[in-house]
Amino acid sequence: MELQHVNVKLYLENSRHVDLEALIPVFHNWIQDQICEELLIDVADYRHVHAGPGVVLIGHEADYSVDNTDSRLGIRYNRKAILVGSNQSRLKQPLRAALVACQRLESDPSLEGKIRFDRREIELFINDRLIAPNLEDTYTVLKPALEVFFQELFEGNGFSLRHNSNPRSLFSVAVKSTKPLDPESLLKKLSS
Amino acid sequence: MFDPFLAPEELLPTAQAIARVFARLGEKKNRNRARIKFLVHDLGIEKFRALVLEERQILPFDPRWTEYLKEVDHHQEQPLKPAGKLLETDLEGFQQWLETNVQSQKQEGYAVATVALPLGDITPYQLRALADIVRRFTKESVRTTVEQNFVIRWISQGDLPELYAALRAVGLGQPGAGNIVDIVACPGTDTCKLGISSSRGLAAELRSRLAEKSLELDESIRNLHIKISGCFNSCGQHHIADLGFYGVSRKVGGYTVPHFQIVLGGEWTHNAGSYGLPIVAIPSKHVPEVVIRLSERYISDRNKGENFQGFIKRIGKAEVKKMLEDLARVPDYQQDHSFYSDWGDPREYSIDDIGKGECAGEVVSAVEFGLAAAEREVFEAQVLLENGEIEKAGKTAYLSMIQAAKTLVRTEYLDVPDDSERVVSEFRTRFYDTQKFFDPFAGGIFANYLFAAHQRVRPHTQESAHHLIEEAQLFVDAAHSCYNRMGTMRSSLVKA
Repeated sequence: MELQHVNVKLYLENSRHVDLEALIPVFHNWIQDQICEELLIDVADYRHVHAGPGVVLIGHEADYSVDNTDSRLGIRYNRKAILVGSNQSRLKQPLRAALVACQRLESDPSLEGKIRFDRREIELFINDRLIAPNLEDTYTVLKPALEVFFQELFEGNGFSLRHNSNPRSLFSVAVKSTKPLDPESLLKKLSS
Repeated sequence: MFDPFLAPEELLPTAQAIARVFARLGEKKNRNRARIKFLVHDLGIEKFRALVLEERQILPFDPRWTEYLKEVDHHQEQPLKPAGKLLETDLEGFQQWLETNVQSQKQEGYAVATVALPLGDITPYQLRALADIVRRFTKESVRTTVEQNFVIRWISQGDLPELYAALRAVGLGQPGAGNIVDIVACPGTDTCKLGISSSRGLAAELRSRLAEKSLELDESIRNLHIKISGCFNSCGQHHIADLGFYGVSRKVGGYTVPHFQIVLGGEWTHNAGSYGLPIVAIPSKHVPEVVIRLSERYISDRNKGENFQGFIKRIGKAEVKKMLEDLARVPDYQQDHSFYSDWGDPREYSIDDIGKGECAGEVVSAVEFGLAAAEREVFEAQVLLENGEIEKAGKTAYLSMIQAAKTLVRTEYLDVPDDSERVVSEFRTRFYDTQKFFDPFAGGIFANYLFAAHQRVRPHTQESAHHLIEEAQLFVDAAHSCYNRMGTMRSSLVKA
């Protein structure tokens, strides 16, 4: 199975204190400063939608958002453009992008340190039901590759995988680490 | 009207005959006129009808014209459950939702429920949940509405509390369907290439301000309709709203500032009984204040039983404009630069459009003055129309277009004479033939309004004067856009 359109969501710890409105100028600054290699285009505000996409930074290759799907706020990277390489590298790219986005938001002075992501959980989605229908079979096929990927990334720290088997949802797997993750070392590992 | 009654079996062959007449005689070269309405206008409805009926007679019979009629009855909606009676409930929020989102059906014991979607948005998760809910309470049928909501029919009235609870659980139980909070907006600058101002941004802002106090709002205000389009193309249906807005831009001190034209007098009821007319362009950031000011005045000064449209008609557009005059002014950039960005977008609005004139001391250019004068004339035409001076209203609307055209011509030919024949001729050569005046998407359509008005010899009727005033406003707006584009080109040349 060739993984494409991988989404990564990193949940926020203190979501009650997060003011999504404050993210709008931050995302606009990202566009103006061209902070990443992707082409960033515009900011869409969906705060009025119940358990919706929150505030979305629309890009050509990928969207970044502080997303509230399932009423759980998190930083979400939605890779839209096709990635070349192996499945392992197709997992690395979106995870790296999501972590960098988290670091940027955590350190943005205008957000006054109110954004902090949960360092124990990462959720992966495949936003393509044709590639990955949300079935047990899909999970059976992908599980070994995911285990290899996270064993290597977490350098021996314990973790668990949980497949969300609701067939109406996108295929997704929550990865829970037994110890808090260090974004710096994860990024170093992902860049190697 | 082509025909007040058409038998179902004649529907498809008549449509086919119309299509064939249009294919034969309709406009082929000018895309802006490639519409049946232009052909009907040119031929007259009588001749058009005769041609269609002639065509209908020679069409070879096709069994598909009537085959589908056998299936029509299968699509009739039927109830899933027997009629019921609504029992008392203390479910939180239910009463308010019931008042605004539910109407009794003609069939006793059944109701129609509206699912109000803020700004017409819904997630896939909510859509799936809605499908489940619809299957639970009806025979799998739900309709979309032109107000960007869903409607569910054939709800047994006894099921209403359960329906509400199910909708609320997935964030679809919002009250206020079809009232002042339920604002309709087109995509505007969010995603539409034609968008000039942020219609969704304004709608979100108005919605959040009004929702906060929706319960305290006077009932007469609560039922007003607000509709917003990001440009003149009316996708947000601004022309049939109590309070309609469409996006325009204006140059202020060399900067482009997002504005909305305030459209009043439109009628949502009686199957969109009448279209409103633009009163004045207001900077985007002042629009919420316009809504507050107009609604407060309506609450305090309306006569008993007077609707908003009647109220506006009674106090007169001149008075309305006077009320809003201070809000039409844009503070200097140095004084308050928030006016120079649009709702939901903190970036400065088209800052690259700065286009200063040759004189270093110029703050308001002669073009801005000229176009403002044209706009005043359009408004004057409205007031004349309101006072029943139809011919004069038409003439004034036409002169406003001449004024706007002359203003643009003067950017190239300062001493252009006032003679309208000469203005139109110079405008045609310098701005139409060169396509400088062409809208990037609508092409030369607005210039054609001027040419048609210039050639007009027939006296005006109420309807034709109303129509010409609308066209004059669009022509003046297009002149503003043309001037903005000229500024952008100048800036690019200077940078290069």
